[in-house]
Amino acid sequence: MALSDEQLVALTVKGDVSAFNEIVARWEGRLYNFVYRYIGDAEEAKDITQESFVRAYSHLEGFRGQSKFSSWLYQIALNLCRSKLRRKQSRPMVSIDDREEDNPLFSLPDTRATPAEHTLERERAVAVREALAQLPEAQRTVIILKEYNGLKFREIAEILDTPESTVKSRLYHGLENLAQALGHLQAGGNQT
Amino acid sequence: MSMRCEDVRPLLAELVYEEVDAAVAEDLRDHLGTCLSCRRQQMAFMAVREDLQQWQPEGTATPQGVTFITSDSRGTAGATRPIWQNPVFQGLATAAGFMFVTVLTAAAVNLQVQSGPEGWAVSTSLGQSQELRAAEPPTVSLTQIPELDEWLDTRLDAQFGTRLEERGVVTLASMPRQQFFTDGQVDELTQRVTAVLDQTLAEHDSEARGKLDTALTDMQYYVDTSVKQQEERFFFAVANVVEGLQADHRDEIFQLTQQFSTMHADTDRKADEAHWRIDELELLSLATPTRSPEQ
Repeated sequence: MALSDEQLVALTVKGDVSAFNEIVARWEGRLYNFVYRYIGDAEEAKDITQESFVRAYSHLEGFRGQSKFSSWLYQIALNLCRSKLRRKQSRPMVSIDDREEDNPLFSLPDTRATPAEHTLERERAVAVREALAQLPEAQRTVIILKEYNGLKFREIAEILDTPESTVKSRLYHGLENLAQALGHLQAGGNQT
Repeated sequence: MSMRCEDVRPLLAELVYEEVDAAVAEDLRDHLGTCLSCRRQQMAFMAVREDLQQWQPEGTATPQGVTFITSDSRGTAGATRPIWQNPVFQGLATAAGFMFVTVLTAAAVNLQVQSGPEGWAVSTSLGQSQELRAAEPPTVSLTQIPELDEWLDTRLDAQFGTRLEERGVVTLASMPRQQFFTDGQVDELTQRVTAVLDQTLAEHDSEARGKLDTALTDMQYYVDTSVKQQEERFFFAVANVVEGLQADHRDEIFQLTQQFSTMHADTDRKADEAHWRIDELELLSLATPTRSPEQ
């Protein structure tokens, strides 16, 4: 039976380095997916993912187990993402100027059979990316953690150190903003 | 207990992520069954989720830039070893090698992959030919979508004196996921709409007609979605059609819809099967003599 993250952490602290390798193998994909959606740049996402593990490893003895290890790891990655964005405040995460064919930010995988289908998918993906980038940071973070990382509300609340009700509210408003931006909902929808 | 729109709206995000209490979900569905406005918002949220999945990370999920920490690096962040020296990576490499050999073997037995109206078919020349149907249908010529819009528009104009856009119905051509339409789905939608409109003209009052209008809208959303995400939309389409035309089948359809929900986490193939079972029942309800408006 596989050891829990917390058990692997305990083994690492005792000097079993392979235990931490197991943690990295377990979480690197999910952490990278989160960072990539937050930052929007594959290379930077790789760097931040790596840095997150390095920091976690370096400060492992400071991990008190008050939250799940995975939440702590997400917190480290989120803090690194935020400080990365602060450093490049003068540059928006996704700008119109970035929409060049040769920009890796917009080079999406070609899984469709025909150019027409590829174009449709690509355009939609770019629209999604831009709409996400326009969201307030708090809403964007919740949507990324919920949609792409599949976390429960309580897990997101733990990572963000905020009440669950706030997480739900941010998710709702984020979805509403995205629905309007992506043309699924008219602004100020009517009620019965 | 019936819920009000202002109570329902904040819970829709939880509903579309399937993280709401069962009892609350039941109340929500009751409300959504009668409130077009809230249902549209729910559908909008589901469409957003579908769109979000269009944005996938570049390359593989495992970033090649990540390396693994050795015993020397603890407390001295930065000393790392390459990913290819990691046991997990080596395991994956072994698996990849195995896959490569498997593919070569498949090629040696004349593996054939074909697309057809019912899906992708994989066959080999080893023994009796076997077909494995993948869940995702083939794509359809996009030229058919505007034709279907035009057909719908003409019918609605002739029979209801209105057009798609005036009725707030999203045209098929404007939908973002056109590539998921199949020939079969378009034909089937055409047959359904024909049946619904014919029934409406023949024998229903204005109230039933309104419900069928809603069903038409839902059906258009329904064909726009992939199998895994169409459950809620299909549920309402069926409920509305049944309510408008044939109440006798309602319980049965509700049960089937629940089964469909259970299968949600199962394979696409099983979900497909459930979907078609429900579909057949809906068509049956359309074919059954309807109750009169005053009953």
